[in-house]
Amino acid sequence: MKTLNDLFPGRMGRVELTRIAVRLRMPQLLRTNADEALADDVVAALQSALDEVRKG
Amino acid sequence: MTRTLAPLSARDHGRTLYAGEPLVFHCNFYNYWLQKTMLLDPTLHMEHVIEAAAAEAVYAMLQRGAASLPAGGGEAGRRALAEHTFAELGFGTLDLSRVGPGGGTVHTPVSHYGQCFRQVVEEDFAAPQTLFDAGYARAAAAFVHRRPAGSFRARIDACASMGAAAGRIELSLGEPEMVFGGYAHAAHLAAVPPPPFADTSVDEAGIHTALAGLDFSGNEEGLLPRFGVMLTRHFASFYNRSSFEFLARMGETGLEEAAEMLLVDTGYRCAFHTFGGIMTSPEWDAVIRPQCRTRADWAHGMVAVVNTLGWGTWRIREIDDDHIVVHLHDDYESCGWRDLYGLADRPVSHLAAAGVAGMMNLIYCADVHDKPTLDLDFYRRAFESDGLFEAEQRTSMAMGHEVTEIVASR
Repeated sequence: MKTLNDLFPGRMGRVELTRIAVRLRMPQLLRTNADEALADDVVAALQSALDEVRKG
Repeated sequence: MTRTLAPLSARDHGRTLYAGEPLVFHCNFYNYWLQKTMLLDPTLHMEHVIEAAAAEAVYAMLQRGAASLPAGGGEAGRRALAEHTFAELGFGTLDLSRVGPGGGTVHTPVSHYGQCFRQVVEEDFAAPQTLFDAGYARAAAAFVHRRPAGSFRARIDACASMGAAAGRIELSLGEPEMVFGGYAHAAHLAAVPPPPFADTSVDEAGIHTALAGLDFSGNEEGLLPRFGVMLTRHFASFYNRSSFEFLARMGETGLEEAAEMLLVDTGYRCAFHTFGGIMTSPEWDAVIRPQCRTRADWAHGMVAVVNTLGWGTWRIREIDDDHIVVHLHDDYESCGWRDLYGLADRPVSHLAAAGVAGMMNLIYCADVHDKPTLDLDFYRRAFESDGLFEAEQRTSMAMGHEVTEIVASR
């Protein structure tokens, strides 16, 4: 199981998480406990969004 | 080659006007990250806002600039003013020769938002990035053919950011999807004059004299390579209109604070690349470095340079190893907000706040005096290091205060 801290480590991770919250219109992402285990489908959605925002 | 240009005039508080339009220097990294941020949520349709913000600023600038052309310039003179201004300010090259009163094709063989964005990400974009060019082309065509603002629609048919060899924009008559109702040029001047430069070994006036000897006009390709980045001498009102509209639209999603945080992050990229490029440049070594005895002097030197960027006048009021207090007189973000919306209920100087913190991080955390390579790996290391400075906007001219006060501490 992965957490937000696993997917978005450090300060730069926090910025990327914010970008994804904006892209997906999910303000609740920024209020989620970063050490809480995420469901697999949420992890997949976040990783997909992360790939998108890392592109030009 | 002699260009047909409008007058450039220096104003109080570090402001520079071109045909009455306030100009500010920004680099391709800032322009890339700002646009990337504004386009994050596709449902906001910020591409229309960016294009319209460009058209708004450019049409107003060209209309005023025509007054400097002999007898109004005629069609050829107006076209030259539009094309040459694009190149002079570092946006690239623009060819309006195939556009008539009913529309046509605009070619941009070189584009800051095309080729120079492509340089930042080193891969092809999925969507055209030359939204500014499209807005510029729309406004320029309307100006050249004496049509009202907003007469043309633009469609980007080819874009260097996507791998095309050159840009191509198709213009047709018809209402564009968005035209702003008003116009603000952010040239407000504060009533409170800035105090003298800090009592330090750094000679601000001497630095300004030295920088005045450098050429900051676009080269034959219409680009402005300086300090390791591609500069533009851009329109303050373009940045203000587009970024504030972004915040307004984000406010409706419950993510306004997140959006503000991302604008600050965009400013960090600006500080890292532009300030870092300046502080590792031969020009810095020749003129400013010899005046610096301490890290604080580096900050004073960088502030002296900032005060030539058109961002307003910065004054360091306090500085030590752990904090800095900077007063901004007529920062362009606050001025733009006041012109557009009146008094703000919160500070709006996100770029400036990031600039202050970014400057301190480069000097006190990243040892910029050792001339590091300013690449993404270094940015990542610097951004993750301990003891980073973070900025707080304590007062804001946008809120009616006499100055914008930014405190960065760690």
